Amino acid sequence: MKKSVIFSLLLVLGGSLSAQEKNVFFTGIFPELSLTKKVSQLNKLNFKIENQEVIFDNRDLDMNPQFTHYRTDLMLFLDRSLRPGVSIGLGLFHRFQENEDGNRIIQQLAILQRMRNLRINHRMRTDQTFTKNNDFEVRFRYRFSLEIPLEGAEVDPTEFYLVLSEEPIFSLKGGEFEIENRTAIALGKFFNNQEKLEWAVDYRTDGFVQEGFRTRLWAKISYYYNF
Amino acid sequence: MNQASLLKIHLILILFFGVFSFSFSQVKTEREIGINSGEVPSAAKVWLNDAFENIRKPKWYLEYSQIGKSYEAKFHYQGHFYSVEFDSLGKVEDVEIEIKESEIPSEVWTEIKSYFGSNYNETKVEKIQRQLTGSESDLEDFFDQEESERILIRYEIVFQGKNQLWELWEALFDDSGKFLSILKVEIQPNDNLIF
Repeated sequence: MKKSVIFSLLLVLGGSLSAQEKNVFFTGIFPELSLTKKVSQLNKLNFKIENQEVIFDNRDLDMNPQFTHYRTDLMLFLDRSLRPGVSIGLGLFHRFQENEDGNRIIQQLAILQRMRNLRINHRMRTDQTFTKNNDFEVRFRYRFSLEIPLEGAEVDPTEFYLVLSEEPIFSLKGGEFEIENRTAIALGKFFNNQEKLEWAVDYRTDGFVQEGFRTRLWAKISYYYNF
Repeated sequence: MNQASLLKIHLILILFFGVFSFSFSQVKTEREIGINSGEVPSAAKVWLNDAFENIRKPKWYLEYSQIGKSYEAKFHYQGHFYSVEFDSLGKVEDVEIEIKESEIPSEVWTEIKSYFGSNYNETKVEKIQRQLTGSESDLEDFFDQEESERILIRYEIVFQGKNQLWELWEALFDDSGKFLSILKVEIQPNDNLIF
């Protein structure tokens, strides 16, 4: 029953977008696994794998539900602490996508502000992407996140929390400028200092400048393991 | 990427989420949870209203630790942020007030700075709290009549200190600025925010 209601909503949303503006809309599931190893007092290694599966796409004329692989991303990051809550990172990324496999180099600065009742994180990234059958792309992105405890002044083991995040991404590809926006809301469970699980809705829009405005909506589940 | 590779990735992801979902350990540690004022012992609420006139609605927390449970009220009062701790029966234990560097007597701050100077190459102060401990009636007199006799005053300072590397510390100083104790502060994992 629930499934059919959700699917009907997606049909209405996708159909209306398709009919009125001919904008691309697709949605699906997005599992993510993040493993972080502390390699020294200052350095951490992070490995992340993300997988995006489309279950509805308004370009599909039959409007049928589907389970189509969209992307699988692998990422390896070396993060070095500069001060408590401030770190810089260097990442390597590989994407598996039909006819568009790609590689990316990422540079990152992250600043964590610890407030009385929440944590604010600023993440700034620059990246350079080399994609098969596509132009070279450089991007700058800034993610602003709020982590809000739901059961006290700070998130303690076994407690739930909320993460709200907003991230504009500015890109230059083949001489053309583009903007993407990502907004996400996540419910997290902090099991202990090693394990965290987050359930999120991640809403992405792009094609603001060039033709082809597009929206993507992902149901995300992320597991974080620290060791 | 062929179908077989994709299938493998799917299986790996399913396996990871499936296996780990059974391995989440429920570690028992210190924690505090937000509570309604109705759940707070009336003795604590009475003391708070006697000591602080017309305070805005405080936020109440129940804290669990190895030594048992306690209650804490947090609120803004006359331009400062206060945390008042009560025992499980609602008897006041101590009061912490967030203050600025300039609110510490200069000779006390000089003493504290000399501790920083002799133990760290560089420091950056993040938070200063004046900690007041005393009997219920002495603490009440301190706030409503400004009598500071028989009140034990200490300063709890959270700061970043650098020797080989920058670390986060919480140190306690007495009312003359003499160093008493120190704890290293670990920031909770932020891998979900930075990666």
